[in-house]
Amino acid sequence: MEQQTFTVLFIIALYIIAILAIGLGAVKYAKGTLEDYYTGSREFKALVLFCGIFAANISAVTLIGIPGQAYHNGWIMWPYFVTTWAWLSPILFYTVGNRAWLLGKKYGYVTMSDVIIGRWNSKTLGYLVAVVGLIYTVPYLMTGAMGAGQVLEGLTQGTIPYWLGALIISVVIGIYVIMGGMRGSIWANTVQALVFMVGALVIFLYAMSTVGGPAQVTQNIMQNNPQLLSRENLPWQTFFSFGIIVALGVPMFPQLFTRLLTGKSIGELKKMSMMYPFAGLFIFSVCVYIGMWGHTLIPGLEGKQAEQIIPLFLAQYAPVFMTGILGAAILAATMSTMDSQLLAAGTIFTKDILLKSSSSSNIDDKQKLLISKSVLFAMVIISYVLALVKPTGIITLVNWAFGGFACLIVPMLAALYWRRCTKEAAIAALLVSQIVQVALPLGIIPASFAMGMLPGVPALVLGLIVLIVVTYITPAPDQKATNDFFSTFARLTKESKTIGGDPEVTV
Amino acid sequence: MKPKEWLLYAICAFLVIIRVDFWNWGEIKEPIFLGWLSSNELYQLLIWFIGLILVLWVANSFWYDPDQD
Repeated sequence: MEQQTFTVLFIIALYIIAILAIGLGAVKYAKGTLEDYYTGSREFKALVLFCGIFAANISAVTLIGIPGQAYHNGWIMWPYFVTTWAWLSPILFYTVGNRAWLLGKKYGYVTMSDVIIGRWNSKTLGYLVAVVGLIYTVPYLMTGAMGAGQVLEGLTQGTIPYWLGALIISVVIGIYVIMGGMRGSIWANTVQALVFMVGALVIFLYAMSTVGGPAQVTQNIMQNNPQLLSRENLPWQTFFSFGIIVALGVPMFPQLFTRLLTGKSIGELKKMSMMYPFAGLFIFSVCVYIGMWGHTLIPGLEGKQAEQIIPLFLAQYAPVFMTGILGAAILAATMSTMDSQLLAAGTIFTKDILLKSSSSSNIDDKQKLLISKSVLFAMVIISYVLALVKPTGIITLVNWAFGGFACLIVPMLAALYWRRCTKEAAIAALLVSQIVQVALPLGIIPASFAMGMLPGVPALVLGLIVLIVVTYITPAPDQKATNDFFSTFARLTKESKTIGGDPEVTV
Repeated sequence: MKPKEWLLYAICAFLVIIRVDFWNWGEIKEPIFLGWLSSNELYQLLIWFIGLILVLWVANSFWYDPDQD
């Protein structure tokens, strides 16, 4: 084995051992209840909660895909995310999170499906929300395993083959998530967030010194690659619509939604939301400028080749330990998203589907816990096998995930804010928006219908229209059940004057 | 919803729209800050900053904490 490969392997092995130790360290705090397993007893404070949510949000796409896109499109790739998602998502954490957290505290809710069923007492709608969550989350899990396999194979120059890399990462994640549940996952995410933030900063500083500083490299780009400054490669319609989709989609990621309910108090959620804009600006600007500046050092990369810009830059210009740092950072970002998705998908499948049937009412908590762990184990195996097979149809689903999750916000906001809204309207809105956002990229609906926007935007708008129309042509929901549900927010809405009149009056 | 919530979401929608400075799209601006950032980049940074102010506003006067009653 070459000295270079050995160094990279050593750093990555150190990282994996540390993550395993921390994840498994959480096991001794487990209380043996289902509530504790799914939510860590809702006891996380701001910093740990922030790391758990932010790390679940940031994936390898940020450290590999975004520098690759910045290589072609330039600096505009940081505002592509940061000038909506980094501030609008934390505001939506309040819009959705404050009410959902109160419901979680009162009724023990864990998933989006719990909230939806609690609002309309509709198992059909609950199943629909659960299935939509699974359809987009499980393929994501599979691509995480694929990405981890490719990263380990690439950084170790084939010493660890793809199948073994994906297996190692799947097993490590499986161990600490299955044994530690939400606590194991969030504790590991705390370290992972630190690793990918520090790793990205170190690589950024090294890149900055290599190109001679920001001023010099900007002059170079103005002369040789002006398209990286002009934004001409990215249509403004895409920039506009992606901003909406990503900001609305993130709070509806099942893994993030559940984590919003695990804060110890609203005060901790508040502090967590204030950290988000800073961290978002930091991680994306750092990754984007590395990719853009990398163009001046290693020109000529075509298409997806540009995603290799950071590994190529480090291989040519940096000492070998930097490649090890990059490997640990990429794996940290990949694993933190994968473990949160694994837990979320397992929770949805077990709690929202398996244990929702009436026959499950006789099962005690210990048996439910065993079922939960068995489901997670099965999901690790399924995602690994899918990562080996690499089915293209499932990979396509991942491309639709942001839009698919963003469309869930329409029924969710209606559940939390609109008393008059009916379950029929929520079902119709959910189905129409999901169908539109899949039918557009498939060409079933002409592309001109989207007017240059990403499919999620027309899907969202249509879903909203359907929600309003169907609400007013169907009978109002049961008033007592609605009042019971909204009584949870009585103090939240208490103010001398509210738009829409008395909260008890249906709109 | 409270009136201040309507105001908040109206500002958010406005910010999401004006974030797209399509009048400058496709143009190259000279760097004006540290020889690095152009007015287009600073404009996006300003959008982020206003968004940050909104997040701080929400944190300080929107979230309801039953434990503080």
